[in-house]
Amino acid sequence: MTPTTGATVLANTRREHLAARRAHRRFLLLARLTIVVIALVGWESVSGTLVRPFYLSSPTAVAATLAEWVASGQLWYHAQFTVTAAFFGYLLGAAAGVLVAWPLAMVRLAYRITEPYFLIAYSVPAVAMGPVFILWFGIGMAPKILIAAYFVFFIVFINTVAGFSQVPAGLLDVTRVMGASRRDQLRTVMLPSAAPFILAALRITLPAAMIGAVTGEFISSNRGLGYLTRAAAGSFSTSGVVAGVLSLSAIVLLMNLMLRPLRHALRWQGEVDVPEAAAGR
Amino acid sequence: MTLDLEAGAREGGRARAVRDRVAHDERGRRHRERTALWLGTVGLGVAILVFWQFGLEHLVNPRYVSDPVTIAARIVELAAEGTIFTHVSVTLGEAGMGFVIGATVGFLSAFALSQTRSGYEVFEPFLIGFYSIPKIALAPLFILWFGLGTLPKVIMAALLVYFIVFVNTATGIREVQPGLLQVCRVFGASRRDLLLKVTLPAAAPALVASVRITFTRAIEGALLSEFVASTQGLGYLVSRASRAFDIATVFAGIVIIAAVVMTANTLLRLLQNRLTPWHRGQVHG
Repeated sequence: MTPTTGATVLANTRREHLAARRAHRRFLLLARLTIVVIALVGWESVSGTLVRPFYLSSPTAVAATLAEWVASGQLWYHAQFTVTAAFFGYLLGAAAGVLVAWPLAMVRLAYRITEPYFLIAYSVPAVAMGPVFILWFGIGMAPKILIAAYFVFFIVFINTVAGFSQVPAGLLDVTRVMGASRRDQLRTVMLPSAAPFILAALRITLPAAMIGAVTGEFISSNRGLGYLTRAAAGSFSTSGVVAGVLSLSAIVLLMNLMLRPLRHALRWQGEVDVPEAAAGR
Repeated sequence: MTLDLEAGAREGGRARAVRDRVAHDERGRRHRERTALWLGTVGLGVAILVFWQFGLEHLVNPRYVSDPVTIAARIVELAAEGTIFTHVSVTLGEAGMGFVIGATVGFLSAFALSQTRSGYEVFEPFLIGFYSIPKIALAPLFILWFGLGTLPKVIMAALLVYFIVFVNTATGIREVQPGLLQVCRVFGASRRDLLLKVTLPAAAPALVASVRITFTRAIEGALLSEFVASTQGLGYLVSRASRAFDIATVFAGIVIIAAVVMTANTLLRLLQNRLTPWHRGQVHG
């Protein structure tokens, strides 16, 4: 019999631990797959028997619609407009948010004077501005870009201000005593300290831009995924609506996954919780 | 060495005088700062309104931007007709109902799922998936299913509220310090005690904070569904006016919406400070 040494105990524990983790992972995968299968089978069997397919469509019908859109190139055609509008809206909103917040955060009094007006503007639900932008800029790309930018702007603005205002005053005092110029302070203290907030805002607002673009398309448009979905609804094609919703969600999901690494970009700072809810619209 | 009491008193008096002067200066400085702030804020507001009223028409066609006086007159007109109260109460009713339903269901389902660790883990990817759906795109489905009445708006508002409350409650519950739970269990706390005395109070701030910020979402949901199809409500007012190119009414509607949202937010913030004064929690989007 081999003597039980510390090393073998450790190895055994490790093996058991790994096995338990593998089992747990297998369980999760199985449970999730079961849910998906039950949901799809349930949906398929309910539609046409208990509920008219007109209301519910069915997984096969949705898949058929999606396949048709892909084959005819419609999906790419419309997706390209939505993604472009979201992208430019995101750039515009994020740049404006940082560039407006920065000088205001530097001059406290200026920020406190303008704050009530930003709060008022923030109280206007972004969707309510949709009709105004469409009145001003027509039904082309511009109003969608602006609505997307509007969705992004306030979140980036608020977070940039929050980032700059939480710079520890002690650090500023110390660096000033040590002879740092204002530019040195900005580069070595303020920016690194505000960066996690700004990055967090940039991470959560890309999906928000996408939703803004879709909102614009819903209010009025003649192309884009929002238009495609709405047109399907207009012709009472439930499978078209579901297919539109699915493709939009896939894009947003993809964006969320793409931006995930940003979460750890500033690992040493710890993760920052941004104060306002952005997604989930 | 003898104590020179007189000199000491003199020094003390001088120190007091210096201190008083510093305090006085400080008070004066703060007073001046507050005056500057107040003047600046009001001045900026007045400047914006004056520019909008008199300056903007030289830059853009007034048809596109209207002006504050016309908009104010339009609000008064709408109030005198009484239609505005119908619109506000319809939208508030939809948003309020959706808010209550979404927050309740969000809380209960997060709570139920968090009771078992793997329960939450199993559902997590689906929740992320649902979270990614631009809820706006569901509006036509809801209208197809539930018609043009109040119901689709309530459901949309509830849906927007649901996810935020759900995520925050689930996070709040899962972030309860395991140490607290273990200590209480060692001291013989039952499952119910743990729930009522540890888990809920720990999760409460996140829950309350998320509930507070979601009222705006509820209003957004109601407005958005009203844009898509409706016969009354603030969203209907704005979208109908925008189709008729009646920009004054559009802005009047937006001003009223902003006023409603700000009032609701202020009330909810007061409520939050009342309910969970010990914590100013972080809210997760």
